[in-house]
Amino acid sequence: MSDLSHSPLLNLATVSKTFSSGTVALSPTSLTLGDGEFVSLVGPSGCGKSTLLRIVAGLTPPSTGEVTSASGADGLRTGFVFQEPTLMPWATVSENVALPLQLKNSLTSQESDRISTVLEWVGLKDFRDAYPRELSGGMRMRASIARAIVQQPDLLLLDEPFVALDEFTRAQLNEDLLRLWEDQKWTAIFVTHSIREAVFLSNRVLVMSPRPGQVIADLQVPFEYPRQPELRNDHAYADFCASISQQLASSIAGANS
Amino acid sequence: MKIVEKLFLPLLFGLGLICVWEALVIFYEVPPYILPAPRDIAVSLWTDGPSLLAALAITLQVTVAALILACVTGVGIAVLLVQSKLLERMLFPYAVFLQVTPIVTIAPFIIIWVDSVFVVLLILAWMAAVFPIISNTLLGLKSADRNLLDLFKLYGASRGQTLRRLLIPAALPYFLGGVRISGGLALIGTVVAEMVAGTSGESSGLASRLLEASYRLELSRALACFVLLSVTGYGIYAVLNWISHRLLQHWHESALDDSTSA
Repeated sequence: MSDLSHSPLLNLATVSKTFSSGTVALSPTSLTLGDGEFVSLVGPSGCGKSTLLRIVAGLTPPSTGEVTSASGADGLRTGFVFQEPTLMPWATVSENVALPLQLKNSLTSQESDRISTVLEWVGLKDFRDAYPRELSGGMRMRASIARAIVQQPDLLLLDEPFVALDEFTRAQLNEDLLRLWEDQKWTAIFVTHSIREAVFLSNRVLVMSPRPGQVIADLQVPFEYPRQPELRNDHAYADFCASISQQLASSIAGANS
Repeated sequence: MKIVEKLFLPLLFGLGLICVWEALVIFYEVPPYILPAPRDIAVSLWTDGPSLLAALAITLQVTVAALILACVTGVGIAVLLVQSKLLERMLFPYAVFLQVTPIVTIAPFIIIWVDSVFVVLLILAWMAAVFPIISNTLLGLKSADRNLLDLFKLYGASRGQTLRRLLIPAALPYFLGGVRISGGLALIGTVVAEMVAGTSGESSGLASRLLEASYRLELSRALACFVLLSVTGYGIYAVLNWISHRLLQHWHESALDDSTSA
């Protein structure tokens, strides 16, 4: 169902997760993700969105099914942005951002330049020597995003990254993230509760049902990139969000009856 | 204002206490072999100063050596125990034994087995000091952020990298908390060990001198030793506190200054 203009990057074949407690977190799910797509996963709490993300990242093994990538076994460079900034409090901003590179080998001068560039992109150029606790919540999240994209990932996974931020900061970070994606074209999977956020960012929205989670709708978002902040005031945008909201509501009602 | 409260108030209290003590000793004409006046202790500190300081240096040598040894072995043991749950279950009870066994009861054996007095004292002081470092460091190693652990896994970090770059920095505040407790315990351990081992003569530490003076009913000298040991204990705590603050000031909640917080 993925857009034909994207060659496939990642394939999930009947992936499911049952925890040892017997809880079914994710019903068998099959998906194909195109290279360069920005895909959002929306759904109610506990529907297995985060579990799906962790399976794709290789942090949680699936109970059934498998995840394969176009470039072979573990050829995908993956970045992960958590709900919290998850920075090392004892390290400066630039040391935190350097982590993925340093875990591979010691830094080359080219990579040091890369860190500066990435910090400039996220607007933290003047804060490279600051410690995380000296930053605001939004700036910490920017540092976290910088760390995730510093190694030029093929795949960027974001698990409700902006949930703790105020609305203005959140909108600003949405726009900045979109700018970075339009520029770099990594493939992104973005987990969120917010339908409006999902539609604003993605070219494709996957709607999940309540536990045990399942993808119940796979929608192409009909708005052109580059997207402007004004899109949020657009009627078509509001209608599209409303239709997703309805599908979600009826699936929740169905699950509760 | 702050410095006045921090320094002046405790000093004022201590000075008041000394004045009351002096007055009571004079008023009731207490003989110096029962309770010497603070003035007598001060005189003893002055006249016996050089020899007492030399004895203190010996005690301090053992204390510092024991503390350093406790830091190295304590962290080593904690890192070993954190490698596997099985290892921890197997070995941790023995660390607890080390802590709850009074060192006075082990001292006689160590004295029989080991020739060098310095090594005897070192072993006993180490036994008194090592447990808080083991248990605190172990707790710290296990307290690393779950998400950061996932991130290290995602980026394919080796065990060594995870230990060096994540677990050890995360454990540092806990370790330092343990060291602050162990600093005092190392001194207490040394003092108890000196008293039990019954060292005497030229190379004896301050605790032996205290015991010796009290046997001779030279209470003012004994109390002078006591004062020096207390001040030393406080000094060790202050130094460790300062080191801990310096190491953590950039990032840990415990070392936040109002001026630098966001």
